[in-house]
Amino acid sequence: MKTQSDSAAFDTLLQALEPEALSPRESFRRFRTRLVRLFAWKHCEDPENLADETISRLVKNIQAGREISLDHPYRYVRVIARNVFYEYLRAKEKSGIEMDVDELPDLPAPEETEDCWTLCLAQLSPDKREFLEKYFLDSIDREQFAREKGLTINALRLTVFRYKAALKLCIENCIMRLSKVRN
Amino acid sequence: MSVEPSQETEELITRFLSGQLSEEERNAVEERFLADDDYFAQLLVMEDSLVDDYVLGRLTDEERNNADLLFRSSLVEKREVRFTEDLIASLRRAREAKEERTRSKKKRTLDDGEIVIPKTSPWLQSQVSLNLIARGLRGLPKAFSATAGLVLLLLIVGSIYVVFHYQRQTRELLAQRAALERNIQEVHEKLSREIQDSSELGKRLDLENKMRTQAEEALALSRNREPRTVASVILLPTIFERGGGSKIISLDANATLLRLGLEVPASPPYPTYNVLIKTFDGREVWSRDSIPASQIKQNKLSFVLSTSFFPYNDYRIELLGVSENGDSKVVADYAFKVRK
Repeated sequence: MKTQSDSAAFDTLLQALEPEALSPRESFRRFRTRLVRLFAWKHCEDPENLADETISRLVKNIQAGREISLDHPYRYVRVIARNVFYEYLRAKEKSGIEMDVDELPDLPAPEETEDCWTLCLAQLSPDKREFLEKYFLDSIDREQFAREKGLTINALRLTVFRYKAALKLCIENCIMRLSKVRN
Repeated sequence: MSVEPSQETEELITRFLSGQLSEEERNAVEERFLADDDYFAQLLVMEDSLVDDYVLGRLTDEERNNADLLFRSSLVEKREVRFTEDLIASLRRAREAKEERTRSKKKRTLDDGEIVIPKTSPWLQSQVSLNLIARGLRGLPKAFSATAGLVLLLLIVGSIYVVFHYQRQTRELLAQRAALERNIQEVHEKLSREIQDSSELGKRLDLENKMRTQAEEALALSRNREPRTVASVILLPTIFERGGGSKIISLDANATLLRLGLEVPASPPYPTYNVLIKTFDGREVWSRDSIPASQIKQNKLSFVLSTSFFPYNDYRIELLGVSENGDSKVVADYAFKVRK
């Protein structure tokens, strides 16, 4: 690792962490998502900030010339993340302040994103839209719905997850475009 | 995800998300989802399903309390819940809008009982159809019906105006065309007549000229049955100089006829010639037009005229060549003096 530049060393680490990613950018996105979830599932109020802190420390270690085993890179990452988490807990305990999630910066008001929702739902194929309507609006038991569609429960969950992921991407892009237009 | 998770894995993930795992179990799950893509994906799918159940109110109280801890702990989880809530609200809006459209459509759709019954008279069918159209129009919002009616009326009036205007224009154009054709026909006929007349006139003129020449010559001859004295003179083209260069013709008392022979320049030949004799002070004495070139013999054009035309005076003769298109040009000038 010492023979590589810091940037190249970080890219090599990202590739080892996310071997299925198609580009360093995609590797970074996937890696960060994983860290954000790690902290979210630990019930941290600001998991994104903690994920970024973990990545920052990782880069510093690479710049300091620390060797990272590429056979088990996530073990090393997890150690850093755990340190960050403990520091977060200590700081929280020290401050004695319980953060209320409702006081965190809010999301855009629903009416602001209504147009985007209309647009993105219209972009879904009719069968997908009908699928989601039935899943969310009709009071049908999930097992029964899965049987009707000839799916296993897990396949049903996965299908809904994928449709929602597509919509999420559409909504994010739409909101971004809207804010650009407004600004 | 390539493999269906086992029930055991599902239960483990559910307990992980609900915060019910021991520290050791939790570390194992964390280590695994960090390194295993499929496992991480499964966790995301299970969490998403939990969000759905949470939002749809399908959780038991205990499950809901645990989910509350997770979903109210961070902005990231709050976003997930909010996204699903917005999705459901949007789907509901879309469905309601769709149902509203269907209801509106149904309102305008024909009832079964109002559909034209087979084997009824055409008059009745027409009546029913008109009723249905009227009912359909009544089903529309009033403002829309009024606007649509106005637009329809304007369209009908506009169409009628366009049709009548077009018909009138067509009639006018056809009349103009017929008049033009008549005019053209008349002009053709007139032209033909004039050409014919002109041709006949020309022939008659030629004939009259010949007759006149013959008559003049006959008259000149008849005036004196006695042996006549014919004075003859050949004139050459000249340049006018009053009092000088002109041929002097002495006509004695017995001379009754004067034969004038004009020497015609060889070129260019003209189909016809005009001859004009006048005094030098401009008084016309005698003239003849349209003399055919055939009358020129050996470069000479001859006339026999009565001496009575020529009292004592100085005379000049203009010989003009007339081309086929009617243009005339002086071919030669001649001069002579009559002295008695």
